[in-house]
Amino acid sequence: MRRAGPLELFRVFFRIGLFTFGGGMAMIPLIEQELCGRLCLLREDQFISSIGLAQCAPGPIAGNLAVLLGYRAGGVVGAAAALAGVATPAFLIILLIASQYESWRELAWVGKALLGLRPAVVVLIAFAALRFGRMVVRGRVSMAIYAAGLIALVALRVHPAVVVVAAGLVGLARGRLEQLERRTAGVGDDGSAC
Amino acid sequence: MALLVELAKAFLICGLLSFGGGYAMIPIVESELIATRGWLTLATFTEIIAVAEMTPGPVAVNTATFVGYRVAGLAGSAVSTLAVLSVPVLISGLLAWFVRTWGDFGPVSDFLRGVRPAACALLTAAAVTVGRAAPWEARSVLIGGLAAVALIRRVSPLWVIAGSAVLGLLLF
Repeated sequence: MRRAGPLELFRVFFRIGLFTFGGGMAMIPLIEQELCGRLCLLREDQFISSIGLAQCAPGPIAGNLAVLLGYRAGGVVGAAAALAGVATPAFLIILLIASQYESWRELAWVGKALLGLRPAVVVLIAFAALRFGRMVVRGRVSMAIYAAGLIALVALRVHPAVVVVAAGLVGLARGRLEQLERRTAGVGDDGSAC
Repeated sequence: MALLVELAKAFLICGLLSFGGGYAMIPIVESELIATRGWLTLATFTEIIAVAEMTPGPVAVNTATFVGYRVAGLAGSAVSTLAVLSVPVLISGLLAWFVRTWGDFGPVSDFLRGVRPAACALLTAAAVTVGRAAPWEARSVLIGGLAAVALIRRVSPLWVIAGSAVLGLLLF
């Protein structure tokens, strides 16, 4: 993987921050397209584990993802640039709205555009889940982690960080077992080449 | 100045305690800013959340910028935004460093291999949550369907987002 300059990361994450409606998860298809696809800065498997890790730190997922991915692609400077990029559009837009708030809230078209965005965001996130699922949810253990995680999150309302850590521990246990069963090395990572 | 320090303190706490993204921050903002400090009314805060949802970018940043501006103008918005991001940034920075340094080390890579299917579950759960909140009528299903077709045909997510906003304007 090549390294990225701070300016490039700032630009990419600025665009991502500008087009993210409805929380950090809605951002994921866009980030994937930009960083894994167009710019070839990250492998898909690195990207997917970062999604889980972003939920293990407090704060906005979008900000955490920017730090995690920016660091991968460009070190400390890259992380700072990515974070600044993702936060700047939100900051400027809210500043504008807060100063013009009384006139802004009268605008009906804003609400209409937002109603149109909602179903599209659902589809975007669902597609990301599908794409990653095909890549990562293979084999019995992975399927079990996926199914148990989904039930825990949706039906039992378990906290995401708890699900992520539990899944990691299951992964750890599987690794130990595999090591005990056969000492052959080279069980590769289930990621794609970029 | 005292007000700025107070803002910084309040949003540092918000950032520190908001595990699980911006929406998890909402009850903490409520107790810190409304109950403890009396800076906002509940009605204003509800409107701020609506604005944060309507505008691009992380909800936490939106909320901090908005509240900071209302309480102490431009300086207030800058201080609040920096404060809300600082703790999360430190922690995810440490995580990023750890994973890059130790990611290929056996147990860590096993751990991450387990995390990946869970990350897919997180995404699926996010789709379910947003889907529940979406207005389920014919025109929304139409927009969703068109978005799906566009994505299958490899249209960029940017165009899908922009297009669905325009469709929303026309249809709603």
